[in-house]
Amino acid sequence: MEEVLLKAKGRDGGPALLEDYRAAGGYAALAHVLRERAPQDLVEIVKQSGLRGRGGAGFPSGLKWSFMGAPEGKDGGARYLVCNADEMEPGTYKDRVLIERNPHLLIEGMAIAAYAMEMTEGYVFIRREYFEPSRILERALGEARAAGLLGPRLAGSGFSFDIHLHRSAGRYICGEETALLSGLEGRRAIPRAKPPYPAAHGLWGRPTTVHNVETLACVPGIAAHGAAWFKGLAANPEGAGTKLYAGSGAVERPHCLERPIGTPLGELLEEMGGVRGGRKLLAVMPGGASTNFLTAEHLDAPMDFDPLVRHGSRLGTGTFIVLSEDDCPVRAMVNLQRFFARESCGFCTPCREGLPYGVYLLQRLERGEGTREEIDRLENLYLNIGPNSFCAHATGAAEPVGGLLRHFRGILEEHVKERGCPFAARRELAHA
Amino acid sequence: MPEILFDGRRVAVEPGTNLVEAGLAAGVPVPIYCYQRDLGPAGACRVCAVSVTMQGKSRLVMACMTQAADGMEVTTLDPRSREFRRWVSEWLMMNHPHDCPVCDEGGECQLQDLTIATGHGIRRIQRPKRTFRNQYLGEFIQHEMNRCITCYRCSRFYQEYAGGRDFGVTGSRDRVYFGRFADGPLESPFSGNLVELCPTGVFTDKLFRYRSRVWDLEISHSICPHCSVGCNVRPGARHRELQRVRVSENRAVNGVFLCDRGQFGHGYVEEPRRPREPRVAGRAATWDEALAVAAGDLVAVAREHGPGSVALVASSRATLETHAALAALATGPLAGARLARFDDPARARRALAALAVLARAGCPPLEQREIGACDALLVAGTSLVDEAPLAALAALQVARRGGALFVLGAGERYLADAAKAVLPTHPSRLAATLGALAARVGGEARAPEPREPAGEAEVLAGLARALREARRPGLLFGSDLLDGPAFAAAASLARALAGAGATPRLGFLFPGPNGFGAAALAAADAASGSSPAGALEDLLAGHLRGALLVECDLERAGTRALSALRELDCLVVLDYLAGPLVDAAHVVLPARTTYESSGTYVNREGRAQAFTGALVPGEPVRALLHDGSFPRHPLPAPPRGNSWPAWRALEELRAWAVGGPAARERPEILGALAASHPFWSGIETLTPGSPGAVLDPARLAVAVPDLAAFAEPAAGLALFARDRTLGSEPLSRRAEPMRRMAGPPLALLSPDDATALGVAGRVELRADGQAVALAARALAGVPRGVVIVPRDLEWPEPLPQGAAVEARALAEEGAAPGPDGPQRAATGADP
Amino acid sequence: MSATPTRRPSPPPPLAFPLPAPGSPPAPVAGAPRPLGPDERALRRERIVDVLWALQEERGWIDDEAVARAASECGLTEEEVDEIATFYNLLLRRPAGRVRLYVCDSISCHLRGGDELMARLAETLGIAPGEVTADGQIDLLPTVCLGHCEKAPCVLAGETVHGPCGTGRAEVETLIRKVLDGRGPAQGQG
Repeated sequence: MEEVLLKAKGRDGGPALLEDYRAAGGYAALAHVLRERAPQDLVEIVKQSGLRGRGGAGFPSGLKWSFMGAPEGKDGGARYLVCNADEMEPGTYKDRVLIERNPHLLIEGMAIAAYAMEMTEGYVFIRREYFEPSRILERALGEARAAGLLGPRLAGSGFSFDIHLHRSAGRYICGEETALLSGLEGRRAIPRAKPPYPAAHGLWGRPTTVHNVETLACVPGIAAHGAAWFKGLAANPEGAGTKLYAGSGAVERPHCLERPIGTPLGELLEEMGGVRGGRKLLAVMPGGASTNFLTAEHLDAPMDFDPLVRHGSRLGTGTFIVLSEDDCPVRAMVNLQRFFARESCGFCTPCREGLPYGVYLLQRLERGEGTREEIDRLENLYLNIGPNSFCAHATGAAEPVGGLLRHFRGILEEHVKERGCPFAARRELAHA
Repeated sequence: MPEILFDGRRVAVEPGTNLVEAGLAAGVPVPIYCYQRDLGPAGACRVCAVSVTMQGKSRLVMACMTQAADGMEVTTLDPRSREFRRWVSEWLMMNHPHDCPVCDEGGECQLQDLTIATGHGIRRIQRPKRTFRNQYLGEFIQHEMNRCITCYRCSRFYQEYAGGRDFGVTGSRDRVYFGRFADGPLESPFSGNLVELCPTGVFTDKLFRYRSRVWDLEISHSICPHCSVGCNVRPGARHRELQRVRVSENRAVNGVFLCDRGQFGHGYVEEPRRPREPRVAGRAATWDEALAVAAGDLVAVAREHGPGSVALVASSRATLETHAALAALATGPLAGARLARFDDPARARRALAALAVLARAGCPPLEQREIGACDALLVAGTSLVDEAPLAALAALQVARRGGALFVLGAGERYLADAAKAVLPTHPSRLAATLGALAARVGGEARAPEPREPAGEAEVLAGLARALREARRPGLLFGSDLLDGPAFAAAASLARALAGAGATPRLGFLFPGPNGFGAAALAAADAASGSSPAGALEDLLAGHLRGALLVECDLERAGTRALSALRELDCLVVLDYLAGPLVDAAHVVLPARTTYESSGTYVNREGRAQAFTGALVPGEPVRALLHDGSFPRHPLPAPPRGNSWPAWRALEELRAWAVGGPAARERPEILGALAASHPFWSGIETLTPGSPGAVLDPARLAVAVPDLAAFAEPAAGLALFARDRTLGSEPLSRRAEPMRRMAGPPLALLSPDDATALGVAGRVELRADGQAVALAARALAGVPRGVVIVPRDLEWPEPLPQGAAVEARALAEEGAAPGPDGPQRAATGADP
Repeated sequence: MSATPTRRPSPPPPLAFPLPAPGSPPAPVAGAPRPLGPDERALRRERIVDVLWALQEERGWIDDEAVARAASECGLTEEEVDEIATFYNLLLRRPAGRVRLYVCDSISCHLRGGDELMARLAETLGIAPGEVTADGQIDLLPTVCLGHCEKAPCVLAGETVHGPCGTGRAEVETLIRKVLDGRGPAQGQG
């Protein structure tokens, strides 16, 4: 298939520089848009394109853009486009790959989005651990500025826009858009109450839209080729666009690749060489650590937003984590829940105290110290945490626990009955 | 208005009301930890979960984060919300130390109450609890972080509401820590509110530590006597000790907050030197003896030298009842005795000037609760946080809510950060500046005067516009830093705004808890001609022969005045504070403190508020212990407890001196006052804890007092004294640990003057052949040519406001203390 | 003195309560158009994480002096800085080893031997996760997903992500040598 997001290629496996990007047709969309399109038309096109947020929640992007249309926000003051490149969802690295390979696509996407939403400044909020991607992006920003593609009066138009890099210092909660804004302002990255939404009261109290890297990278294509083209890229009729998929965990060749959105899970797994070591598949978390398990029976499921919801999970970031028949799902769950407990910002009670409680129960169960009552308590605990926390962090934590209880309750019970982990022997063999 | 069904009760609420408030309106107290009405919803604790059914769909929501919508059915009783709230309790109790038996919060602990109410009983998680190290937070607040349930109330109040920057939240996940960067006293003068806000025992009152279980306390509705704001408080007493003072919610006045001066400044009640027994000629006496001698001596002086040779003096610290009883004394042989309502002539004139402006301006009073609701507020002629701390806290809310806050001041620190603009204004120029502002409000743009500092015109233009365009403009003036022309200019500004269609709410600060009341009485005295003015001046100048001083603070009146008082033929002192006057008096009559008596104060708004006592005074039980245990059998009467409220003692004195029955109940004495003038009508019917009654000064004829202008000295600096936040007014000045926390007095200079004089650490101020040396600090916001000292700074002879002083830098002795006000880093005692 | 609307000039420490930060810009002149974006104070604050990171690179960790420096750099109080310094995973408020070796312990590494890698590193270095070697050379820091899951199990040292890391004794010894020799710009001075 034709790659869209990873189309421009750098030399020697390095990032596509400005000339590489231009050679692949880059920045034509921006020039076209600045010349030919009114901002409002672009919002309409993005709405029709069916583009949905690639950061995990899948919110319709055009709708988000239209929130910026409120006249009270257009008072001549600052308006911000913030790119979320925090990418701290375990198992997720597709935004990093995109920036490493094709940084100008993000810059062009941001410039077009900013033009459409009449923004004055952009920030890329990137995690500190992405040292190399930050350097690549800084360099690309410099190239774009030097070429007049950023800064005052872009490409000779009347529109001015520049992008700053804000480098964070590692905290999963920064992926939550309002926490990200607090973090960017130099405050504790604690989620804010909504409403007010960022479109009304965002960065420094100004109208703001936060988008994921990949979402913004979809924008130049849509601007250049239109909504119908974008919809046509998808593998399933209800989808739109291509998607960066990435695999990790028990797959043979974990890597990131671009495919039509809605490509079946089994096909993607196949492209990565199948389950590691030819083992049987136990489960897949299709979109990062906060998505519910799919199992072997879901291999035909199109990897797209709505189909996966129908299968009781979510597309999330589209970067899937694979568990093989040798991997104890209870042990994996201890790992996952330790992550969520540790990354809780500490603001609301269910997340701050409830998640460590969950780790406590899971650890007891995993070690074979648990009881049947504790399995029930675990279920009841997460049923109470999930929908009742302040932001989506603990909700995301509760999702895979729901899957564990639904798909692998038998394994949990085995741990209780056998007073230990039934996978332990196999694990020792594997790592001997 | 949305109408909802709340646990089966139908209730209609204002649009935008959240479900916690709606529940209260319906009579259902929804459990809360993090929510507090003034701080607004936070959504952190999640204990306020309720089930909401709307259009057939039901879901669990947080009551504080959800607005009532028409047709909602809300319940706290369904299994789902009960189960969730039980979980919240279990989560919060995972790490709580369960140390209720030794926790001072026990008995009024929200965590304790709600843990039981939500049905959590057994801790099902067997693992070590999280622990924290506590910090030393100063002499007022005890820190016990292990009890924390991470509701964020403390940090939200301290940082967001009160503007403090030395206390906050560190860490994350289940190790969130509320404290300071390093051990040290909390710098905010509103730190005491953490005690009340914390839903459990993380922040407790150090003065109250391990002293009582709260259910054993005797508690009353009282009024804070430390300034003219009139905050409502709940003194708590036990074993004949005033053990603590807490805020008492009164939405009409202070809401739910209190300043540290009010909360922790009560140590004067148990000051060891406090007069507790009548004394005659330095020896203990019975009341009858003392009253007989006092009455006999005062009458004798009046007979011998004429009643005009006797002064009857009370102060702004005395209640309306006391003032009324004092006036009632001037009959029979004492008819014609000279009355004074203040113990400081200059402050008396300023209080009268303020009252005169209020009486004539035709503006509604700027009530405490209205301050924060202003969308444009001018604070002028005061460092508000030092003179009326809670008014400053309210003024800060103007900026927090996006309103325009302006300060024309001398040494304003607290509001400087939040204000749109601060214009340091020499008190001698305040009138001119206000005049220029009034002119701008009226549409005139005057050419800047030659002495006008650059940029002032621009600020005034913005200020004039903000005030004129405001929906709710407010003007709040101090008192001690205003001269006669400034009072007049304040009046013209209010008139100009009214003329421009933006009638402002208008307020002044008054000295003491009853300054407004005392001023109103003084105005009536002057209008009726019953007592010619100048009684106090004559007394202090040595022109009179006898005096009765009721709750007067004359120890700073100077050596000449004190020796004039000592030389009187008869000096009777009625007070609960020790001091040189008590030592010099021929007759000492012990009085009761505010917290030991009933009475009425009129706060700076003109609001009359009644209060009752929490305890009967007497030697604290603890002072009587010999073997460390409390007496098993109550004593028949409190030892050394035979004092009366001042008004009651005055009534008894009247019975001795003049004859006739003494009034024994407050309504008797207030009834006479209420009947004397329509201004006072209804005053006798007020009940403690109620919103009280706002008196209208427009009903009074207030003569404008003779009040000169401050002159800018030709050489040297102009000296101005004003209160500081902690420990400068007569009550908290005598209170431990307030004195330690306040630290030594400090002179404030403008940065330019400090540089010019080479002042680094200490300064010597000289005037009229006297000199004092004190620590000094440069502070932006102090205008050039001015030195500000706290009112409790001792001079051999007092200097008038604006007096010229010479300042000389002294070699630094050790590190200088922090800036004026809450100098919490101080370790030394007063020099 | 000038009557332009004043903030305070730089007050000497310790700050007694809310004094404006040293060098903060003057209050906007009354009546000037409402600021429609962040003021200079807000922009100074935005830099706090960068400033803390730079200080950590210089000193190896964020000691109290670094907090004080960050405070004056960004116009904040020490407490306000500490609120941030104690929030982020990569910032250390305790003495650190010369090389901070961040070992991912999240799910993707966990499924490819992350636990074994950490155990082997701990064994080889003779310390527990979260500790510093006796010679102060290596700080073994468990950390969350580094976003390099195709290289699982992986570690971050300096500015370099190493992976996939073998968990055998020899492989781990090689890895340790590699990170000790690393001379990336991010290496602490020790």
